[in-house]
Amino acid sequence: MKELIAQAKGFGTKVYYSIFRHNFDNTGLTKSKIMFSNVFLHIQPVKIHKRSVKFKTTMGLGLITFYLFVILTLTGILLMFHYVPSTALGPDGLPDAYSRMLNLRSNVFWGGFMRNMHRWAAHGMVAFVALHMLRVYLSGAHRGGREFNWVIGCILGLLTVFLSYTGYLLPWDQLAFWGVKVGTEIAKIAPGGAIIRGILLGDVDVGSEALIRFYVLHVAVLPAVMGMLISIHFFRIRKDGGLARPADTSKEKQIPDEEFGEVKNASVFKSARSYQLVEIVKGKEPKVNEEVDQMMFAWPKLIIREVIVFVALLAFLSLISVLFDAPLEGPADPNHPTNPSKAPWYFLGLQELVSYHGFIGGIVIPGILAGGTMVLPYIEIFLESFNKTYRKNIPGVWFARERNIENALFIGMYIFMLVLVIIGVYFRGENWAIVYPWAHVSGGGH
Amino acid sequence: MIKDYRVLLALSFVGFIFFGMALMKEMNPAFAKHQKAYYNELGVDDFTIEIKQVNVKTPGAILVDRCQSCHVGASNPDAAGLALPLGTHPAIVPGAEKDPHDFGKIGCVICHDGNGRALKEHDAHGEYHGWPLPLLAGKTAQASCNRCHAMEGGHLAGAEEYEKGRDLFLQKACWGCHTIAGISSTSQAPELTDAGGKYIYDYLVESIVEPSANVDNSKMPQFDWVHDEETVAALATYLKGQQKDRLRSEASAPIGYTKPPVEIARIVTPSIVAGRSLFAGVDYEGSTARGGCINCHAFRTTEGDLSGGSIGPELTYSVRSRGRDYVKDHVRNAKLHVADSIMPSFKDYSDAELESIALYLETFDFKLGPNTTGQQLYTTYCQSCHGEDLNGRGKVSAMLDPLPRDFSRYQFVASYQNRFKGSIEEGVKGTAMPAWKDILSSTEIDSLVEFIKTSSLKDSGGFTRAAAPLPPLGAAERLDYKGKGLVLEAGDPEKGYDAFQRFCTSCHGKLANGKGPNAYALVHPLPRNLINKEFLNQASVSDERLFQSILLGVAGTPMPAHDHLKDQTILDLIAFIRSNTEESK
Repeated sequence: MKELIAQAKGFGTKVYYSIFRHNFDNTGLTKSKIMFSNVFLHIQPVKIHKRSVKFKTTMGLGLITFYLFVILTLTGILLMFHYVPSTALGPDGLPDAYSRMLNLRSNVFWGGFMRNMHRWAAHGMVAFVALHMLRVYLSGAHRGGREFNWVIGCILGLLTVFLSYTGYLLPWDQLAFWGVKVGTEIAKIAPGGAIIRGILLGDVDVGSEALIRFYVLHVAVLPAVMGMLISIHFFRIRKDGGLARPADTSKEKQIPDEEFGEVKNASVFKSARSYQLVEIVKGKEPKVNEEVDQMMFAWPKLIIREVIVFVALLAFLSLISVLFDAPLEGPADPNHPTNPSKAPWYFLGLQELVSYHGFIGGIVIPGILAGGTMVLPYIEIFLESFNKTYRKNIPGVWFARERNIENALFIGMYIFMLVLVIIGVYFRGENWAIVYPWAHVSGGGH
Repeated sequence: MIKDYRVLLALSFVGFIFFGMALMKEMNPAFAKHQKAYYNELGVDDFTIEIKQVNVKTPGAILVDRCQSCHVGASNPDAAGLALPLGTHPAIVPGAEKDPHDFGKIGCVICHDGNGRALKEHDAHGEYHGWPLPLLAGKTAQASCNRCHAMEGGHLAGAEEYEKGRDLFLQKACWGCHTIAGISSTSQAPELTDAGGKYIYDYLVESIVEPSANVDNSKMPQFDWVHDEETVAALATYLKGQQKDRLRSEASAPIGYTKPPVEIARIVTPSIVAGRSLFAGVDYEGSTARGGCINCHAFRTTEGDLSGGSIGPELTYSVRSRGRDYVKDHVRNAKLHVADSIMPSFKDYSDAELESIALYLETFDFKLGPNTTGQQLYTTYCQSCHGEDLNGRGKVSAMLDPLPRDFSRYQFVASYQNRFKGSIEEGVKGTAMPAWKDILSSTEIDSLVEFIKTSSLKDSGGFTRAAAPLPPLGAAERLDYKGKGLVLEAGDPEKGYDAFQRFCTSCHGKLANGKGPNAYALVHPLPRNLINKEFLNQASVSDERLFQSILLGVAGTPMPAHDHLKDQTILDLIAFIRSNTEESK
């Protein structure tokens, strides 16, 4: 009998080790194994700088953006099981795409909740991309070899907006139709915009061809591109040595070692970083062992904190989705424009600008802002190189005094766009006239 | 570290609750609650909660109708006492032994509109933005009888509201301006044959009560009866029922119900009684009369009481001052006499009907007694158009074009007082001003003119207009700076046209119809319509008057002086205006 139990234990252990390859004890070796034997966890290093888990370092903004992408992918796949990208009229005279929305809201189990999650997460992702970008810039984390990652991040931001925008059309209601119509009309103003618009819509106007194209872009092309760029974005952070931080962090107040959990038998890891070789590959000067005191095992502190952010986000999204239904208006009717016709909120700043001047407001200003933002670190390098102004770059420090001008300009740009968006969302009524925000206005913007 | 675990645990708990809430909400939707309540009330123990869907087959579509998932007792007589949404639907056909409408077969959407697929109240009732067919609750659902039943005439039990609206459409003179195929044909205002298909009920109500609410430049008058909610509701219900898309063809209309003829009163022999029913929009020999003059026009009874609408001029004196032929022509085509009249053309009226109206109008015999003061005369005869304060803003003035003269401008009165008597006696052609010589004695007219003059001029410092007689042909040009010895020739319409386009179009418009871009900024009076033939061809509008009006402006109006124009240019302008309005030979 005892032998049998022992054999069963032996079998169980073999099965367990075939899957996990490590125990869960507190030794440094195990903590390392946990991290590098798991493909998902190994995106993160075994040992991290203690700074990385502090709230103020990143505020979790990039992480939240990534989680939203994951949630959007999952809910989106569930929605795909039901959705039909067709404007063909069904038996009751409604376009298929739209009647699927009605079904999601009524007789598809959890359909309404999934749609709400998807909708609110999409809006949230656009917002968090913007916040993440603001964080990165204000803490100077876009410099010091990370310039190209900033460019990739900007592309990811544009992709997010475009993903959200292509998804906006899919319900095929008045809101979707006229919101997208407004956006594509703005595209006409750009030189060559009419051609891009034609390729995008597959027609001279928003119609059934546009719906299928937007659908394919939304569910296949853009997420695939996005997934790839996210991988590159993460990989480069890892290769650049983790989160941006100042060269000397010894003066900073850190979370004490005890908070990272007990470590037994960590003698091997105490005296050296576990990835010295990697460190030598990158960087001009070897800083081996300099920061050893500041490093700590990623397991479990970092992973737990990341899970906390995920659970909190999921809880918040669930609550929002229970309380607020995603908007749905009447079926798309090309003959009856809503008044006002508003684009989704993240384009309302653009629409507001266009309302003053088509070309300057619709192409020049946003072009300068988007293009300029994308190459911003290179502009900084350019100015510093040619002006011979040696500016001490302090990555990872909020509002570094040396960067006051840049930060002020960047915040100014954000406030400028935010004010335009707020005016567009709350202060524009029929015929794009200024109204008070409490005046009832229906017809887009959300 | 342990703190992090606690935070994670707490958050997981909260997340679990919210996630659970989402599940619970989905497991126990509103219709399930209603069905449980329904079966509890009825004492049924053995029941399944389900979406009750009716697929209503119509020639064009299959309506998906899930309404009875909540309105679960609609066709169950046992549920009569239950409150909404569970209770029985009230009888549609009053007094019928068994209601022919089977909700199990036809569902609810077919009559009540709304969104049949939805299962939440707000969605299902279609009360969200952009849904084309929001719920028609209560009596307004009678608008939908028309979808299956032929309703042009006759009586359908249970459709009383619709039929009331159908009569009101004729009685309130809606038909005079609006076309509904089979009822009326005019081109004065938007056609309403598909009003119900195009507009929602609330929009129709709003457009009746406040015509300019949705169309800024609507010419539709705001009638006196729009504050009577029942009338408006019945009319809007009728209009909502005007839909081109019917669910059944005439051939397959419901059993025992064939298309009845439209019953409109036929008037063959002219009579005062018939005229009265047309004027007042009341029944004639039991059938609805197509009439309704009274909705716009008022009249005074023999006792002097005023009754009727305040949109068009008062008709008490119309036959006495204009004559029967003029009245009959005017009903048929008012623009013949007043170019900019908004009065619809009642061209469908037969001769007998026109004669009846004239006969009835002739019975108005109100007249003030002798020894009346100018003030009394003004209040009785002039005030409804020219206003209590003599400012041309009387209660019927808004819809008149040209607007009634504003006598509160003393400059005008001082300049043109000599013209007043003639205008009152003979009327002003091409406007709403009638001739009063057959109603008022010469003395009365004198005292009226005196009243206007004293009221207007009493507080003014006086005003004298420069004299500017029409220069004869061959006379020397007034503006001959270079001393070329220019002499005046007969006006050239071609040159006049050029000058008009240069100097006059901002107010009088390119077409000379008084509707130039600046006209919209002017209030009272508006620029003269210079292609109003009736006006320009009357004796009192002489070349001299035109010359003075252009050269000196019209005192007390926005028309400015044009003394920078040469006399020759003014003569050209007059020639141009005359060429536009020549009577065809």
